Amino acid sequence: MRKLYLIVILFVFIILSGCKPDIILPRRREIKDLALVRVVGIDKSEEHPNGFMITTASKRLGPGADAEIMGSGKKNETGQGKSVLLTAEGKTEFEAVRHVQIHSDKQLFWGHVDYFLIGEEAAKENINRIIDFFTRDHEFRIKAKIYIVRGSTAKELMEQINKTEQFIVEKLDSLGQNIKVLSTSEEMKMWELIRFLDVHGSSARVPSIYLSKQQREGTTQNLYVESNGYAILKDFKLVSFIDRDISRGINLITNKLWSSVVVLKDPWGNDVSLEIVSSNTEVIPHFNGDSLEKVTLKTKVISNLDEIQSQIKGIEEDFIQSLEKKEAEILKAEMEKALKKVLEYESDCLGICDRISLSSPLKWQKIKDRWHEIFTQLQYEIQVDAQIERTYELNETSGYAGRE
Amino acid sequence: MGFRGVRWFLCLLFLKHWEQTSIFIKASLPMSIPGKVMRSIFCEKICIPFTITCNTRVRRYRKGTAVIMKFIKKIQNITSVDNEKNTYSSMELTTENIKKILSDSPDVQYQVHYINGCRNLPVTVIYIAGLVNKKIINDDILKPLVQEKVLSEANNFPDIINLIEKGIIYNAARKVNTKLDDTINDIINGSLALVFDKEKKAITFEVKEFEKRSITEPTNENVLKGSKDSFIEVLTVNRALVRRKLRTPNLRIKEIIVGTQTKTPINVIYIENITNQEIVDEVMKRLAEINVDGAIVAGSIEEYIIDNKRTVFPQVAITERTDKFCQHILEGKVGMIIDGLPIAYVIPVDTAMFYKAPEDYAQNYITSSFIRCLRYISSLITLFLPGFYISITTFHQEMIPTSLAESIIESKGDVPFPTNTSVLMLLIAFELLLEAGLRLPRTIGQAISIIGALVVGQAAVQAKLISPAVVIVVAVTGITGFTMPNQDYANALRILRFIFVISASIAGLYGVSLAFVALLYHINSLETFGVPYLSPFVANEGREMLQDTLIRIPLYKIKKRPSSFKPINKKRQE
Repeated sequence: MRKLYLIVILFVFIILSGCKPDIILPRRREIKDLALVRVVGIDKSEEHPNGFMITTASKRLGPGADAEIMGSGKKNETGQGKSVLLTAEGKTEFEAVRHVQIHSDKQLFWGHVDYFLIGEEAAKENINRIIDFFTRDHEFRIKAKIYIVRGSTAKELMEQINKTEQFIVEKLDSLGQNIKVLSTSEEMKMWELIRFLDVHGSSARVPSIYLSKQQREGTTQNLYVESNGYAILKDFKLVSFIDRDISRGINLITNKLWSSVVVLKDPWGNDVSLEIVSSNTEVIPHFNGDSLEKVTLKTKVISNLDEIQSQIKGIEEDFIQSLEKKEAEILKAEMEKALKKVLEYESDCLGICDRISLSSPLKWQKIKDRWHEIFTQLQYEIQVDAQIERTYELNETSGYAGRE
Repeated sequence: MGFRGVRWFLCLLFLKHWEQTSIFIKASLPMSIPGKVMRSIFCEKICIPFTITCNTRVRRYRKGTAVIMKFIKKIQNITSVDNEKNTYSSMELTTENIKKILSDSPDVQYQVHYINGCRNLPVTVIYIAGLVNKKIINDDILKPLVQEKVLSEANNFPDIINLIEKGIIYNAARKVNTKLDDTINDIINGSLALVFDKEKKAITFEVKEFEKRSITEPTNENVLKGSKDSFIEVLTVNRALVRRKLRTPNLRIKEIIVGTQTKTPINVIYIENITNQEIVDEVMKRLAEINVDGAIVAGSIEEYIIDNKRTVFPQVAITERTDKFCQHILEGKVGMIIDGLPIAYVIPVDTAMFYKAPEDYAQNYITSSFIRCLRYISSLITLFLPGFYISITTFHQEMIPTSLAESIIESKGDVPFPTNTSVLMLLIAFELLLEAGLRLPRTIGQAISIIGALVVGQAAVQAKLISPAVVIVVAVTGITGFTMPNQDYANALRILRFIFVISASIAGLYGVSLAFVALLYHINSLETFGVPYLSPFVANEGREMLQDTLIRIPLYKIKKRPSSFKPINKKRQE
């Protein structure tokens, strides 16, 4: 009897496993018949008015790719890049994806997609239409990172990278890692974007990249892709970009600053470099009764003195204080500019409301419904408190003693 | 219900053939409650040898009474053979009869001696050459028999027998027999018999001495720190080895003889105020129920006394080390030594025992805890890895880290077979290599490793028959399988591995988890001599979970004996 129970239980397991009723068991596919798609580019279709053009990149595997992996150093004779790019169009994304499949000699597998690149034109229409398929379909991972391509289509950008010796994913990975030393942008995952759109009334910021036209002399290698601050979304639509000159302000406000460099003029007119090692921004709401009047952004930045161009003897307290003051001014200006631009487009993409709701949850309930109307009219005050903690290993610059 | 009805019907039908029927009933009613009742009624009277033969046949004979009649006749035949063997107990104890029974084997020696040279007092000396010590026979038995002055005073047989019985011929083990079969048993066991034909009496002296292997170092369970003596084929020696280690007067040794032809002595060893008596009784009962012609190979005892016949898991533990054996007895288990086997059995068992190696207790406890953990992990690896590999490469490709997935795709290149086929092929090739390595004579044993390494490892990959990833998976599976200290347990894992491979190729990880549920169910249903098979993990409310299982805590901290064996004296130390 117990054995009968066991059989019944196992049978129920199989029946109720949540698979399609006509296929009881999961579908099996050999891994060698798959092409692992690593990057998906989404652009506006040229044929269909509301359609999409999907570009996929997967790594070129096989004997041709082997030659380089083995370290022979030779470039591919065929002139092919490291990636296999496939493009197709369709009325919807799903249709386009199926059209891509038709062109592929292997079955496309979407579980390993690492990056979604959205073309500027496509992003200007409605980003929700773009991400719906990728978040709904079970094969995609929402931990994939997302970028908006400024100034060109995603397809163009992918084709350009493919001309170099780098695989697209490697390039984008290094881009995402390297941007942290300047903190002018960030890596954003699909799930972060979804959450942001849900919470902040369909506003969001998405990191953006662009194709740099800059050509370096003497080298055949071009700097193709560069990070370009943020793209700002309002009502699912791309409204503006925040360039790299002020985009650090956004990272400061949103506490996403890993490390950065601030270059100042010292009293003698020479340059001084500061390394920001940590920063913290507090959002302090000022309520009058139940209505929010003013928001103070109180930023504390801790930096180290890394480089002094002047020949000075000893580092005086005054000197440090003057540097701190100048640093605070620069950072405050960046934050103000970034905040102003964001407010100009009425995009609630900085996550200030999250912080208010956490610091004063009861009063937040009162203003929650009106937040989208009031946040542009609020008075924002930015206070930056910059501190220089260390000056590293030199007290006086080299060669100073000899001159004296 | 149908079966039970038929059984009762049969029971009534064959009430006349009392013995045979009851044998049949016992055979045909294995588990149901009326079966148990019947069993307890009939068990006492009936010899049970037929249960084993019957159990497999009963199903076929359920169909009709005619067939059953045939079966009964068969049993009668078997019994009659058995009875014939015992008929000589009614024969008289004379030299002629002994000669008739033992036939004219060249090793059986018959000599007639005159006691004290007196012609009317002849006595036949019978012994088997090779089993006896001739020097003792000459000096201590024949010499006094012929030359002892006291004997010359007696001139009739009864007086002589009386004198010998009282110690005129000095030997520690002498016995006066009046029965023929006792005498013959003694002769076969290496005694010398003085047969007095007129009196129908025989006196046997134990002068046993035969060639035996000396006590050597253990071959399979070697330990750096630890005793170097291992069991040998002779029961008395093994018993003495145990006595020498366990010097308690409470050590109990019970002997039982198994095998209608071989008459193999089996000793059951335990310590009286530690081991639970119920386990001892159960072991003795099951040994007594064995009725097999010979107990020469290990399986002939092992397979009869285990609880669950339909499982691959070992239900008795074996060891060739005396110290390990004594350690188990100290923990409240029952030891069993079979004459002729250089190993000893320990019953009952639990799963944790199969992960313990003797060197665990010789090394530092931190080191051995680490190695224990490795063993548990590697048993999981050897069980699941091939199935897991098949699952992730054919069903759940998203689980593989991307760069690994790409290199797997690359390495599989032009391999013609699907993953599950190539894994199965290679696993079977691996098993074949193992088996070949065992069978090969030692002198050409090198060849197998060359073939294994070159053919499977390299040539198959170069010929693109299998991908290198599969070779790595199977190699890791094999290596982790060898870390198991108990070979029987490792073999169980070897078989189960194939089940996981098959379920993985049908339904991926989902299939693997279903198979794992079934496996857990199976292991949980196992029980050996009243001890749950997963004992330290599932029983005792988990109290002994981490004492001497996954890790080994310092020995001075293990205050109690494992409670799953229900020892009488629970405390090991203060």
